[in-house]
This record gives sequence, structure tokens and C-alpha cells, in this order.
Amino acid sequence: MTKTVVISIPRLEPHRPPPGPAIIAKICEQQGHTVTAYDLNIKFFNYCKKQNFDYHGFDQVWNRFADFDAQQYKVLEKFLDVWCKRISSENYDYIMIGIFGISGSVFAQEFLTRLRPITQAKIIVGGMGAGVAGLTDPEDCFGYRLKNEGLIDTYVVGEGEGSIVRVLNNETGPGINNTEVAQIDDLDSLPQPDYKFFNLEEYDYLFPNEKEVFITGSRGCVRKCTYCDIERYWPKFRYRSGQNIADEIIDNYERFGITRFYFTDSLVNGSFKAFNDMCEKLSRYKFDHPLSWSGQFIFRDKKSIPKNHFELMKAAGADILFVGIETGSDRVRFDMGKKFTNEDIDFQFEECSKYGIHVIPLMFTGYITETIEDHRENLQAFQRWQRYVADGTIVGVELGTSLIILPGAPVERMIDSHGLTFVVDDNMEPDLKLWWSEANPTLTIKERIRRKLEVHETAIKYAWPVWRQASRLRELKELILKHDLHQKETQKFYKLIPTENQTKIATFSKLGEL
Amino acid sequence: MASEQVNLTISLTGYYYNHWPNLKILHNNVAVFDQPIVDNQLLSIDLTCDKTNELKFIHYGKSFGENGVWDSSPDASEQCFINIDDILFNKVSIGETLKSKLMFDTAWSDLQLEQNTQEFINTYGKIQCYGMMNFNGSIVIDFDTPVYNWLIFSKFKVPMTNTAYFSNYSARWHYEEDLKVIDEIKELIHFDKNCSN
Repeated sequence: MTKTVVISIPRLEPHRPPPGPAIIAKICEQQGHTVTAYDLNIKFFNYCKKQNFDYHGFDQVWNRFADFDAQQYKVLEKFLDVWCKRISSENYDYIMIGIFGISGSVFAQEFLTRLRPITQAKIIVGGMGAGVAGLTDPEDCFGYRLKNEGLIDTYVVGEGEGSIVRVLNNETGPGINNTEVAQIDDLDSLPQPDYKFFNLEEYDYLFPNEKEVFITGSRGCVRKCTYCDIERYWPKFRYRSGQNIADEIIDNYERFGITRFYFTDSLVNGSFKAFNDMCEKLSRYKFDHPLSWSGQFIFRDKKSIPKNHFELMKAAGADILFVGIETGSDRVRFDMGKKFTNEDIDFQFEECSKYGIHVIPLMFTGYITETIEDHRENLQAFQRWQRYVADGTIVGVELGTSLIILPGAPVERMIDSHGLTFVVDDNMEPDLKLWWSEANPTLTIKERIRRKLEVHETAIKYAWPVWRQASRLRELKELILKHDLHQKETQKFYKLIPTENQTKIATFSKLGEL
Repeated sequence: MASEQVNLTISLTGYYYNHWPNLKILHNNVAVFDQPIVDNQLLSIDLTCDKTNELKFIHYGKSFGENGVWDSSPDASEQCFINIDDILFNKVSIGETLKSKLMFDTAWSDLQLEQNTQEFINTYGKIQCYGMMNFNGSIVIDFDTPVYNWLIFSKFKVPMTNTAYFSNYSARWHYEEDLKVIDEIKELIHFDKNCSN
């Protein structure tokens, strides 16, 4: 019988088991494999804890802002040696590794460098981290680089449920050793993540004695927000039925006693019907222990919201909604493709307050069309909605970075129309954070930094629950130092020259000096 | 000194025995309310507040045997007393955390001091009361303006714990590191004075 091990690696949050590997493990089992799964992220978390070593101290390394220090490298080496030997000795036919995002690349490189020489197994990597690429060459993704270095046999980009079966059948196709996107339309037909493969007692749950897992109700996004690159990975929005989602929640509750769920969806209410159906089903189910779920949520035009909608959500277990309100300027929010106003936000904050649903607004400064008047309106938002901080509705705020021109995001296709130019690094790679727009010339890089700091200080002035932002500020400082933004009065900007049809993703591949 | 207009909403319940309980409310030692509390009452009081403020709720006029009058039944199952159900500053509740910190300072009468043991006096001289005013005495709330900032810090800010950086909720309202890095950036880049504020 074919022996397969499915592995997840840092960095992941240590609070929940990884859903992707739990699905892949289930699929391999359905294919007749004998399957083992290791979550090396939680193993490493607990290993560091046992060694009294700071697991979170590795964040800067995973983020690629710093190299390992000698002590960190020693700890990691020891951990990897033990696990590589163990995996090698277990004689698997397939080793499947999930790389969650770009923050998994350093660990993946170190892990595979040690594992590859001591195993005969076929090594397959997948996950978002396998497909991470730059603006100028989308094919040059992390999976491609690993394969070129001979560290893996196959990389899978995009949705793995279908691709992994094709890989096992030695087939090729979209998403297998290329970055083409193969989407699965009928999500209800897919296997659900099976957490029996993981030891659920190992996790660092946010609420002691309350197990929490991820859940995915949809893929892609119903919106086309201009700054977001979701359509690069999932061009089409697909969603599960409300009944199907509710069934998974109830199944996890019944089998494992899981009472907390975190939606990975771009928007938990992207499909209003499916979301409403899920809420109705969950609100009618008799849980012995209160159930709660959190996830990203879209605020809508208040006229389109049915009466008692938030009351139903609360009855279904709504706990924390992460809402991209983005800015306090209606004009800029509309430019971003979000069709709701500050008045709509007022209404929905009030409803959340009424029913005890918590909100974490997601915001950022320096959108390409943001004027100084828009910025002032943005600052006013912190006073306008401070009441909801005081009453405990707003329990956090994400102030974000300044706008990044992400490959595949609609804003990438606005490079020409807005006359965007970029600062480049020593390799002539454009820094996607350092842009300037001819159409909005006063929004210089320096002005964006100033506005970001002013927004941050205003949030503090009104006692907003800013947290995990110091790292973003440190990143900003590093960026300033890296590009000498503090020493040069003016920057040299470079124009990205389109090479072919601009409606395609990441078509800008040449640089020309202005 | 800048002042802030604050609307105070107080939800109270008065319990009758011989008479309705009397309540006086002082803001910075100035009486803003002085009446008996009849059943459920919702008071709305507009205050002009300083940077620091004292709000004092005084329950008075309850008899504990003076002139043979007891404002409670012999088995104490019925009493004349007040319960502060909630206090809202600009429509925002003090919440359970602050309510649980309310301390009642008993104003003993001479007769009570004579009739009760020292242990009783010590035990009930200052008690965590959750808004209940059974004896004569007072509850004091010290608050600052801006009032929402005071509410937020008082209700939600907790000591920082060492947990995962990206999910360390206890780090909220601990702005020290943010402000430090903001200053470092400002030292690097000297922004023009024509800021938006």
C-alpha cells in the first residue's frame, strides 16, 4: 500500500490545526494510501516552548527581514535533523508539504535541503506559498525555484484537491508545475478537512479548553476590490451551500467537541443566501455548549440588509467580524470598489453593538486616489466610531500598510492609466510599495509615510485597540533605510513597460528609466 | 482648562420600605440630583466635566432603629434600598468590569456603631457592592475626560501577557512600542510643517 505523509510547516498561527493538509490527507486516504500527517508548525512551537526558546522570535526571519542568529539556527537545525531523520526512516512513497504563504519559504528551503538527500520519496509541495511570485515574472514562483534546485519533484499551485489526484496518477495540467489556475466549481462535492489526522490537544488555543479550527465556506471573492489580488489565485467566486457549511461545523462539534470556528473566506457573507442559510441552520441546532465563529465580513448598503439579520447572526454564533472598511473617506472607498458609505458603517456598527457582535475594522492609508481632504476624512473616522470602541464592539483595528501594487490585483491594471512609476532595488526589481502616481502627484512616498503615521497617532489619540502594528512600523522603518528614503530628497522612479495585453495578470516585465 | 460636555444616564431601581430610598448625586462636590428613587428610574444628567472628575452617589435617610424606626422588615427580607443597575457615559455603559469594581463606603450612624460589633463595622465599612446601596453611604467614581478614553482604558486595558504576537489581544492599548517606532521614523524623516491637522 502507498505510504504518504502530509506535512505543514511554519509559519502558521499555533492556535488551530492546518485545514489544507487535513483535506489533502483525507484525499490521499480516499485514494487508498496509508496516511500520516505531521504539523511541524505546532511541533516546532511546542519544541521551542520546551527548550524555553522564543518561537515568535523567528517571525522576523520568516518575514525575511532578518537572518537567523546563531542560537536560532542551532535550535532550528536540531529540530530539523530529528524530523528529517524520522520522516526518512518511515519510508514514505510520497511526502507532501503545505507551504501556507511566503512566510513559509525560509523554513521550506532549510527543511528540503536536509530532507531531499536522505529520502527516496517523491516530494510534492503545495499551498499559497508554492505559487508566490513577483510582479515581473509570474512563472518564477517559489515552487518553480525549488524544483529547479532539485529539492522537490512537483509543485502544485492553486486548489490542490483535484491537482493532487492528477499528480498521483502521473498526469499534468493547470496548477501542476505551472502557475495556471484550475478552479473547482462544486465545493460541496469536496471532502471536508478531517482533523483526526492531528492531535488536537497539542494546539495553543486562544481560549483555554475551547478547541478551534478553520473552516472554508467559499473561495475567491464576490467583490473586485482594486487593491486585492485574490482573483489572481481564484478568478471565480465559488461557495458552499449554507447547509453544507453548517454540516461541517456540526460534525466537528459532534466528533471532536470543537466549539470555535474561524472562517478562511475572503468574505464569510460573500454569498448572502448561503450565509443566511448557514445562520438559520446553526441557530436552530441545539448545541450543549455555546458555539462561536469569526471571519472576514463585508458591510453592505444598509438598504439591502434584512431586518433582524444581525440578530440571526448572533443566534448562529457570530463572534468577531473582520470588516474591510478601509478608510473614513466614502470617495476613496468607492474608488476601491467598495460600495458602502460611512452611514452604512454607522448602521452596521450599531447593529453589531445591539447584538453583542464584535468587529475588527481593517484599514489602510495612501490609496492611489487619496487626496489630503480624503485623508482628513479618514482621520475623523476614529472620533466618529470611538463610541463603538468604548462599548466593546470594536475589539481591534488593523491599520495595515500603505497600498501595495500587487500583481494580479485590479490596481495593477491601472498602472498606465494612473501613470504609476516605481523605485527599484539593486536588481532592478520594482518595490511594489514604493510607487508614485502622475495622476495624484502630491501623494508622494514621503507623504504616504506621513499620513500613515498620522493615522496611527490619531487611532492612539482616540484609544483605538491598535495591536500588532509595531511590527508594521518597523517594516516601514526598514523600508526607509533600505531605500535611503530619509537621505534622498527625490527618488529615481522607473516605469514598468507593458509587454502584451494589459488585461492579463502581471504583464509588466520590462523596466525603463523615466 | 478644556471642559467636555458629558451626558450621564443612570439606570436605578428603588425598593420601598416605609418610604422610597433617597439618592443624592454630586459631581465634583456639586449636587446634580437629590430625590427619592421610585421603582425603576432612568436619570439623564448633562455634566460639564473637567479633566479629572468625581461622581458621588449618596444613599441617605434610611433608619436603622433611630427613634424606634427600622426601614427594613424584622427578618430583613424587605428593605429600603437602591440598586444602580447601570451607568452610561455618553450612552456607553461602564460595563460589568467597572461595575464589579464599585465600592460602597458605609456612613455609620452613632446608633449603628453602638449596636454592631467592631468586626461587623470593619467587614461592612467598605464593600464591593456591584451598585447595591443597602446602608446609608456612598459610591464614588473618579473619571477623566475625554470620557470615552477613560472608559476604554478602564474597561479593557489589561497587563500584557507573553503570547503569540499576531494574536496577543492583551497587547491592545499598550502603545509604547508603536510610539517609539513612530518617533524613530520621525527622526529619520523630517516632515514638512504643512500637515493636514
